Amino acid sequence: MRLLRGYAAFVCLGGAVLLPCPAFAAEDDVPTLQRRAQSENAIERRRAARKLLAMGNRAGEAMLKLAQSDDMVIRRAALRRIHDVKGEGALPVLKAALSDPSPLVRVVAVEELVAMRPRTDEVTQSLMAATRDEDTAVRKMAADAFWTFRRNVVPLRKRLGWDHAIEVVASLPLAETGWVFRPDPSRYGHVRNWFVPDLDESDWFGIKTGVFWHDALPEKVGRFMGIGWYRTTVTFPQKPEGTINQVVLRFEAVDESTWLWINGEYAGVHDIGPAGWRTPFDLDITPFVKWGQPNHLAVRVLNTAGAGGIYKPVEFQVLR
Amino acid sequence: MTYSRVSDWRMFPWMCLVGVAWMGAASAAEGWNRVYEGDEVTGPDTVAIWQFQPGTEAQDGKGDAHLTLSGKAQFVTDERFGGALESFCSGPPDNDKRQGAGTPRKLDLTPKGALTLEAWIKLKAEPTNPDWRSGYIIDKMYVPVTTDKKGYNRDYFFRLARSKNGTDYRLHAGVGLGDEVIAFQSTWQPIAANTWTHVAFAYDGRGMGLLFLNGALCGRRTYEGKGEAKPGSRNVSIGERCGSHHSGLPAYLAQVRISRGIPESLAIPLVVTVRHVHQRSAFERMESDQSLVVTIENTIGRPVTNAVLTVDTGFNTSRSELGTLPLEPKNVTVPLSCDGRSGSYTLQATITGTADGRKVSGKGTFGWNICKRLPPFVPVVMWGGASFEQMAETGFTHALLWMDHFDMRAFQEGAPIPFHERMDETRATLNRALVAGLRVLGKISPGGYLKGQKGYAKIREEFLCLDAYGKPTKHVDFSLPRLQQFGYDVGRSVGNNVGMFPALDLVLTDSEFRDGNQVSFRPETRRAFRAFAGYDIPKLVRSKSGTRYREIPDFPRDHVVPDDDRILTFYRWFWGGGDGYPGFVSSERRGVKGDREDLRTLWDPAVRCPSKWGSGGEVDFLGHWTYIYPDPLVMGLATDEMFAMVKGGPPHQQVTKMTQIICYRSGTTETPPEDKNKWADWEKRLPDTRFITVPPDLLEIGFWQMIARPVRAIMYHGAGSLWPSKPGGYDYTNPDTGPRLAGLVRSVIRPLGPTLLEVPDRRTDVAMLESFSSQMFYGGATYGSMRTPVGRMHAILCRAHLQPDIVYDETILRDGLDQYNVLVAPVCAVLTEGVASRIQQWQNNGGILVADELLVPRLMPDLLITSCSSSDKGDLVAKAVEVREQLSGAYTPYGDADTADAILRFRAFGATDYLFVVNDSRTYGDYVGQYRRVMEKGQPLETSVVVRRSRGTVYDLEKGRLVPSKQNGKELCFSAKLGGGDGGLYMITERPIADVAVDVPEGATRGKEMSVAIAVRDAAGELIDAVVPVRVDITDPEGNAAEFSGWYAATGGKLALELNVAPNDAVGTWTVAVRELASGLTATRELQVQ
Repeated sequence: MRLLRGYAAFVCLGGAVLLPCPAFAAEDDVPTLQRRAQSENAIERRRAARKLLAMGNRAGEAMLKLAQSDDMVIRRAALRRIHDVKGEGALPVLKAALSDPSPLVRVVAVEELVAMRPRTDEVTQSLMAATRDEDTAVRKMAADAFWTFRRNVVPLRKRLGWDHAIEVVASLPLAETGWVFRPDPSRYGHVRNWFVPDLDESDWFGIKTGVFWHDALPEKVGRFMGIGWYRTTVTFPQKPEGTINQVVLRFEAVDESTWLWINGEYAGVHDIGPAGWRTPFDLDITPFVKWGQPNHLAVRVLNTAGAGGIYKPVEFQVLR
Repeated sequence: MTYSRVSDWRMFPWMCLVGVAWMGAASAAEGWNRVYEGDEVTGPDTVAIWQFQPGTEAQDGKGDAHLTLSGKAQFVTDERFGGALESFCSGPPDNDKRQGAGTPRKLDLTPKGALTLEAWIKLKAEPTNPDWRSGYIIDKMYVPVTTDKKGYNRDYFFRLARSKNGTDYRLHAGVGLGDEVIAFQSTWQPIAANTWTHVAFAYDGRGMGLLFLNGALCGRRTYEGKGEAKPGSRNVSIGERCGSHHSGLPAYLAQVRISRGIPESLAIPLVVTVRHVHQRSAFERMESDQSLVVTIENTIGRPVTNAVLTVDTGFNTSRSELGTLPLEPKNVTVPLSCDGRSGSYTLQATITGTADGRKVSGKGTFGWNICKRLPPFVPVVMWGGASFEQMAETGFTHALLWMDHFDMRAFQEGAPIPFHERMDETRATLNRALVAGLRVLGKISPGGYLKGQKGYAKIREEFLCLDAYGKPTKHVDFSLPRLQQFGYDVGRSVGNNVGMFPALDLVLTDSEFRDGNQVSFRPETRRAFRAFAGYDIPKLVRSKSGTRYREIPDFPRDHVVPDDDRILTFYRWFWGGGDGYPGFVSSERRGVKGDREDLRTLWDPAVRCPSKWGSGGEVDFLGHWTYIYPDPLVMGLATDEMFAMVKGGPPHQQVTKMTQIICYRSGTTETPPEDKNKWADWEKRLPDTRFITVPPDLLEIGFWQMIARPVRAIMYHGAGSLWPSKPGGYDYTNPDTGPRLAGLVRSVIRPLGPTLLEVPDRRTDVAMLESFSSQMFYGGATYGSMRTPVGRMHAILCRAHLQPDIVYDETILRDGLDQYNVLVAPVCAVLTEGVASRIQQWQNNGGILVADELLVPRLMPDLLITSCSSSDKGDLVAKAVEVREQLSGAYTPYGDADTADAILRFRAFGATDYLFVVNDSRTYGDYVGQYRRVMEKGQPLETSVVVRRSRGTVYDLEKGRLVPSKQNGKELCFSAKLGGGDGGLYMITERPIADVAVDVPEGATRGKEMSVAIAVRDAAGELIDAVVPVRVDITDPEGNAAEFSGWYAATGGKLALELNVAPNDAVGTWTVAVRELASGLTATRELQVQ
């Protein structure tokens, strides 16, 4: 392969990637760089690591060793480059990195696994395992690989540019009764369309919201960790007169992450990890609302620590 | 007593000549200003008269039109007239009834031919409704405009209108001709409360009406071909509108009379009126090319020969020979010299001539003002409603005036509106502003109205954005040429009407306008993009906020997209102006400015958009308002973002900054505790308030954050929270905030403002990248807010004393990164090839890249600082410490302090540094802090400051004194002691200031120029290489401060002033005293003015 001067070539699945790299000076030989990549000075060792990684295959084993560096920043960069260079051959390194003590490294490992083609069973299983990572970012990244529901709407109350007082012009507190519930330990509910309105609910449990699920169903659910689904049908009021800026379901809190479907349509997610267990939030349902008619709601809840469920009030709100 | 009348108005002047020796003038002859008696009461020309004398208060002195009182109205005794009718303005809560007094119906009180309505009124100083705008003096019409209802358009009305400011008044009158109402109005006039004032309306029965105030003509209009008033059946109402209970006059009325013809006492045989063609009455000193129009109306009916016009401006006199006056009105343009000393003048225009062998003359007056030119100053703009007195009290320089008079009309006309009476009141206010030493920020919002107001609903339909499926949305596509033209037309309309008023030097073009933009798939818009890019709008583009990279198939693994990525190209085009919004405000600017270079346009909030050049189009000033809570350092974020934006703007574009005086209550507090005893005072007083006053310490920290940057103006919004106001809007909940702001203006902005205008930023070597490509493919734009990791990183860097420049992708591509040693790249999750490669190259050359975990995989940071998800001050300070620790040994900032609570910022001129130190040490107070959401209470701080320069002398510019400092090698150290919320500005010069000198000529001549030179030098006699603030006081022999007394900046150690000694300035010994504000040195010189 002919190389452009000042560029290093890496073979990856999609072909060659050209990465600009500095002109290599005499002191930039691999052993010297390897030594400097262990410097006490973070900036110096990262500069050296950057040069090593830019060498690609020329760096040989030195590149793999960087994936074992004590420096998390170097490990992150090394994982990416190893995948670039070795393609599927990087899988063992990436799988090992899923156990890295730093979630910032694990998240890179997941990201690279998600990008790996073909997605073999081994890759899928690695990613499935990562969906249970203790770190929210890692878990979200892994789960995203299996997630097909997308909607990107910022609730009015969260909009940075919204500089007006927000008035609730109509509201309806959702009843705590009339819900059904089913745990989803295998996490396949969304694949099996548990959000569609006409689902057979015969094997679901009746449940009360406003309390944690282990309090509501101590025998049937208990202290369940993982995903549980709530479903109900609510008749929303008639559309109020005048301007409406957004219609939301206002959750005073859910322990801890929430995905919402309304009338079979995906409305959005609130997932900030365990810290979200007591955070009020809105999910926009504006385009899906059937005014003055029954509306079906499906709420997917993830709990990774302690109690779980829709334990605080939920309200239908029309915002102006 | 002579008392002659005519019922044929046009014959009157000659009859008058026969009856009396007269002198024509714009003021009527004496006679109106006394108690009527004899024939004036009972003579044949009196239709009705009410004199309210004790015992016969309600009686008509002429006939049977006796009065019945209404509402709270009552008869009272009066020293001057014996008796009077007291009327009231109506208004809740206790006075929602009609007022005044009325006659029975169906009386014959509308004379044929000419008629006159007269009254004495004495306005109340404290009316029950302080906001009253209109009160009727005499009414017999009911509906004062032409209507197609049967039985209307008859008789007459006579009322008084009051300006918004409450000091000026205008007489309005109308005559019903049967099928229409013709109306007359006076110019705006001051009328003092508690003073008897004579008002009169005379109608000649043929279309001409005259309005008089204290016998002086103040309004005149002729409708050609019209006739006499048509009598109706309604009663006469005095002090209230006929048939209404909303137009009572809050005044005493006396000597109310309805007459046939015109009383001789109001006769004006020769009418001289003086006006400025644009209704200006206030001028800046030395304004050139000003003139007045003197109109001479020869009502004698015969030629007046040898006419001579003499004009006395108040300090000089000119004379023009006009020859023979025609029978038609004659306009004479007379130049108006504005070189007199500043003050109020009454110009007198006197016309003399000969008619039928007799000498005749007439006189008109014109009150006008010459106003001092203002030394350079930092505008402090009140972006909201306030009285001039309130403005002056706090130190605001600019008042906001709404100028949205012509938007719909201009749209309908499809062209700019020429000079129009709808802006008469605005013009009067602009005159008053100039006299008060204020300037005005005019507000126009044609775009905002078009996209939001109900009245435009039909019009809007034609211009709506289409979505990708061709369905109309609620958003307007402002890229359409018709709308761009509309922006120009409205701007030009305002320019045509008030652009000639120097008080108007700033115009706000469509504030908060671009929030409503959206991607439009109209055919025209698609064509426009295709013409730009060569291809259609990419399919994955759906909304203005970008396309998330995870939704894009085959998105590059290294998150680096080609420079010509099609989706990114679209968004560059859209946010760079393809949406039409920047072009629209540019059109407004082009229209309103006309040829006025000194009139600036402002657009805000400028950075409520992704990080892309061009949001403000061509406007002169970008602005952005910011709420100061919970972290006052947010003020600096939006300001720095604007500086990043103007780097790609036109050369004239500069930055201003606004602070919100209001806080959302919902953003600063929680639900109050159940125990009301624990409520703050303001919560007890205003339990339902939604907007509260910003805490004073936060306001001050925000203030210093603004001026630490080279902004051209500072602004405030939320007048209702700054001064006591009616509850319900922006509420006044903290009485300490207003005085704090006033103190800052007094002690910082006024004395140091001219210096601040001259000192640029110090070139910094730390940059923070706000990446447009990342925002479009990942998100994370700040919109000027700290509720994002990027915004918080800015605050972290400021607390780490790193003074970051904000750079955009475009900045890097154009200017490179060579000036920086450190680049911080928060949330740079997607970059373009060009940006990424430049960063790599710069990094390879030794640049230190600091980034968070989201940095594009292509790049490897030198330092990783994880993104901060908390706005808690403790968390931000911890991050600041972490940044400094990680940088330790690799990078040391130019300035430093021993605590992150001391926020440092440098500006520099030559070898001199200007260091702002702001005290951000805060805790929770008891105003809102009890809710633990905002630390609003500042705490004292003493901090050691280090500036890494090899020598320097430190001056505290606010306190005007030398600051002890110590040189440790290449570090200059000093201590800053600051009160809660306080800031300080330290000037650090290479050498100490040793001398200030002022040079003036020995003598000067009135009407000529005079030079004053000021120098600030070091011990070697060299000019100080700095911008030194100085105070200059120029005093005339009478002890008056002359024009150009004020605060200045001695740039490069010198200041030259060219004074214009007025022809009417005082002669004798003048004094020029100078004090430099760094060390307090002074110098004084005297000179003789002849």
